[in-house]
Amino acid sequence: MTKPSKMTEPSKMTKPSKQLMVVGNGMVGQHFLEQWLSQQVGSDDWHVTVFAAENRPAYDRVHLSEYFQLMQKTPSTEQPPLQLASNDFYQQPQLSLKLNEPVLAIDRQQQQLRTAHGSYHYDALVLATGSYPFVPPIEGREQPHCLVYRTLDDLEAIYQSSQGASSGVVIGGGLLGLEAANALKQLGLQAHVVEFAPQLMPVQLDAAGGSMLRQQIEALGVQVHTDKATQRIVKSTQRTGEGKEHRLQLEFNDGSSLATDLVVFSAGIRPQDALAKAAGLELGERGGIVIDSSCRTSDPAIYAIGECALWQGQLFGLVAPGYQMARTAAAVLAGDSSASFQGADMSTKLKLLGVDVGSIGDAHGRTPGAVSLYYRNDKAGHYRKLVLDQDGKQLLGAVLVGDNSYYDALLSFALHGMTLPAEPESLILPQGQTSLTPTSLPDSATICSCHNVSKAAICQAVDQGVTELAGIKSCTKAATGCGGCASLLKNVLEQELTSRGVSVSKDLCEHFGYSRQELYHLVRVGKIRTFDQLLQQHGKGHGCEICKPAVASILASCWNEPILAKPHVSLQDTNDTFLANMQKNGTYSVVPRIPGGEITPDMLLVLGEVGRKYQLYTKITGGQRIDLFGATLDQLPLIWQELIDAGFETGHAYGKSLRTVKSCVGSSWCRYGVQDSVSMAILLENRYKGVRAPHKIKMAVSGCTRECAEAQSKDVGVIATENGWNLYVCGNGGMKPRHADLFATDLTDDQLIRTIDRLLMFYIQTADRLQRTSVWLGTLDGGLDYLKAVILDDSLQLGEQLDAQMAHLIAEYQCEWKTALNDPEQRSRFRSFVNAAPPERASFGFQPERGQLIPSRTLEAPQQEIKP
Amino acid sequence: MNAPLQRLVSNADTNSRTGTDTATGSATDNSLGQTPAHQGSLASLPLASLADLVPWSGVAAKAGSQELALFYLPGQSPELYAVSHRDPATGAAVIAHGLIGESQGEFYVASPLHKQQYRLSDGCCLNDPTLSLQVYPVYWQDDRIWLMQYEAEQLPQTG
Repeated sequence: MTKPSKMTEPSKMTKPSKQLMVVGNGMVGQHFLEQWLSQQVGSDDWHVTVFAAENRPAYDRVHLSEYFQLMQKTPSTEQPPLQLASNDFYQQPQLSLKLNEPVLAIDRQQQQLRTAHGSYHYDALVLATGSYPFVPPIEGREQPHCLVYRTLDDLEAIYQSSQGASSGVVIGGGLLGLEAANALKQLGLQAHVVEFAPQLMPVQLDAAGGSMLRQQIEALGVQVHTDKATQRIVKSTQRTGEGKEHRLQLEFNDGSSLATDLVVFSAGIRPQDALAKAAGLELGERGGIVIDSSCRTSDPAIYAIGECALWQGQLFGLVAPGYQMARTAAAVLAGDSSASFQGADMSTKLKLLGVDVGSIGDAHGRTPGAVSLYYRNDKAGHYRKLVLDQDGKQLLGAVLVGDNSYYDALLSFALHGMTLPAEPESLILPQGQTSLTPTSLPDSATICSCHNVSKAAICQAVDQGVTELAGIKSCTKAATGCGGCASLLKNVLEQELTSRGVSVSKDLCEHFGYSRQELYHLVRVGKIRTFDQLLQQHGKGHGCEICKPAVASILASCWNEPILAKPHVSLQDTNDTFLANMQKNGTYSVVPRIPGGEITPDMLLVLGEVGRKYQLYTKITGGQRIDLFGATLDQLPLIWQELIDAGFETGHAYGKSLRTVKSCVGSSWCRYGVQDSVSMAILLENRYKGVRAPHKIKMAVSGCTRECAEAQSKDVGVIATENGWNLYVCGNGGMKPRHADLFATDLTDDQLIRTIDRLLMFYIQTADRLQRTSVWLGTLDGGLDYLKAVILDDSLQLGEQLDAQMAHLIAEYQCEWKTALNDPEQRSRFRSFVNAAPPERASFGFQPERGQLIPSRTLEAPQQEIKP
Repeated sequence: MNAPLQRLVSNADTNSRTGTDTATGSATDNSLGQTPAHQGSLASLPLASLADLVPWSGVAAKAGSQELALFYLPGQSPELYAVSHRDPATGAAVIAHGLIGESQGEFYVASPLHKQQYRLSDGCCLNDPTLSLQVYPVYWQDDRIWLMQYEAEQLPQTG
């Protein structure tokens, strides 16, 4: 007998495939199914049957406490909240899901399972039975309104019990207990947490971290009672504020008591190993099904994965190691004998009641000789600890409370055994003023690499009395090559002057005695619309190449009039004037917008045809688009006419504005993707295209934590999570790379966009000229925390104003190339000579290289000669 | 020959476009200081019409094989400058596309490639004494701009 007759399904009868049975459809069991089925695509060798004790398919237990919120948001017709797989997943022909059918026994001799509905043959069996909540032996624990927190049914029971209740107690102040307290809080109850140990989360945190977490949680309205052993739970005699009686009363070992209406036990979990035990599989002394590194139990036909499995005497109560076991078991079953489970790091990073908590490795510093370093800020509620080995060279562990943005770097140090920097405390010190300050640069540091000018040379010039940037440039030649170091040079100069007691002028230039930020405000408040107006009212002289583009950018940021409109045209740098990027030989490059890097084959063909027709050197850019080089001024309108006719828009590669939003392919194709990163990238790129800013802005969206879009190196980086989006800000690549800071987590689409709107607008309003977001962040007093307060908590109550200004900019968008082509006067500017035919392209000097044309390497100034 | 000379690169334009009068000293100094403009070898080439110019910006024009950058500063004295279009630092024909700047009352153009500043009145580079632009004498006539031509041996020296 291969199957019980009453359970057979005709379509599957025809295939005498092997039977794989999975007991348990929790998170790990589900992950196993996904791994297994993705390996078995196109193969009919196996049929897999899953038995679930619960009456619903696998759901996300990690985010259980969000269930009540989600229930209110999700229409009842849709897939239930927290469910892991789509309903379609379970319709696959080689899979049967049996809900509400717990397995009662395993007959290992016959290789059969028995349930209430019948018996089933297995060729291979996977136990993913998980664990059950441990309820301490407290007197009175079995009366009504004493509950546990593990399944959705448990949550339903908590919900029922919360009706008519005003207060709830969680017994257990660990990770799950705090999650349960969050659930009670969301039900509108006064939540209490009772912990036996002297602190919260005693496994993951040290005492100081526990106390910082306690402060934060109490500030959120959850009452914490540590060092309390509950002795019994009795019927209450106390009354609530409204004169109603509480249902229950907890009595503690110290004689105190606490009245409440319901109690949730969350005092740890125990492996669910009863089925394995009855079948005679080997168990650990204190429970857990013993497995080897292939996830096999003592019976080679039976595997165990997840919280029920015991590997080298260790249980793993986290989902990540469970997933690793699931992958291992799936690979081994599919015949990959090299797959093995090698234990797992138990470091964790999570948000409890909105508070960041992280724990890495030896958080308690129990390793002999370990040395600890601490950072603690009671005002912000931040606590960080590093545990180092006795030489101070390796990171053994860490504790974070309040800000998890340090977690990833610390985890890499701990996991990879990387050697720590000489001052490891820099890893946990606030990052507001980071390494971008020139004070940290040694004298030998090269500031200008074109002319090989060191910081020492600049200091020497300052010592000789040069105090102006222009003077430093002409006597050291710094920043006169490519100019890429100009803002660094300015910082060094200002810092050197400040350290010599010279007051540093923040004036934009000799024409305006104001900083960019001040000019922005003057423009906005005075409703100034042209450079001449501003110069007349607040400046002097005739302007220069510093203030003209800066003011043009401010005007565009405020009013977003076309940059080539008459009053603005003489203010623009050549790239903005001709809506293209000037290259070294005086020709221009053309970069159409390709939002999110997504392009149809037809559009790609258009680019190919245009490139071929005009003999343009063609290269893929780092921002996932295509750059066409070598166009003459006269060719630009012809090229753009073809591109616009085909449906392209300008890419603003020439502007101090949004460049690209890079994306990975995301959940629409990638088997790891958890969100649709491409759609989000396209949405963001189309939203912010054309918005002028103090400097260029780059963004990226990654569809999962693998971060293939490299979002953490962008001004705005978005990384998908299973619950939404994490937002990183103020990163950049370039000369001084900087990782972006984690700014907000698990945002919805709307929250994400609103946050970016405000952040960008605040940057536009307050940054200095040509200041990237990373440097800007370094100049804000209070750094990242201040920025978070302004943007996320609206501490300055600027939110609505920022929203409105961004909405205005977005509404005023137009494709500058389309506008220019439709305006004969603007179009007439695209002439190499006003009195002569367009020059031959050859006259610019090109040479072939790898099948394309590049500027001639021997480009030299030709002889000056006038013929009579 | 005197008629065109009176209109040399100056705000003293007699065609009444600007309405300013005849303070021509600086203009003549700028462009003709060392030039024997009255010699009979003078000839002129047409460069551009007023409509081709962009106020406070530059355009490029050709005079034979020579490439010139013309800058138009309405209301200033002089209001028109002509310099060589080639960027001496790179050899690229880009100077007309640089931004016009002013410092201490003197006007200059900043190269769009590496931002060196060249004084419009004499072509000297303000950041690097080894570089300079050639300056050319130009004048208005009938809303057209003309380049004064000399015999080759009389060309102003480039730096």
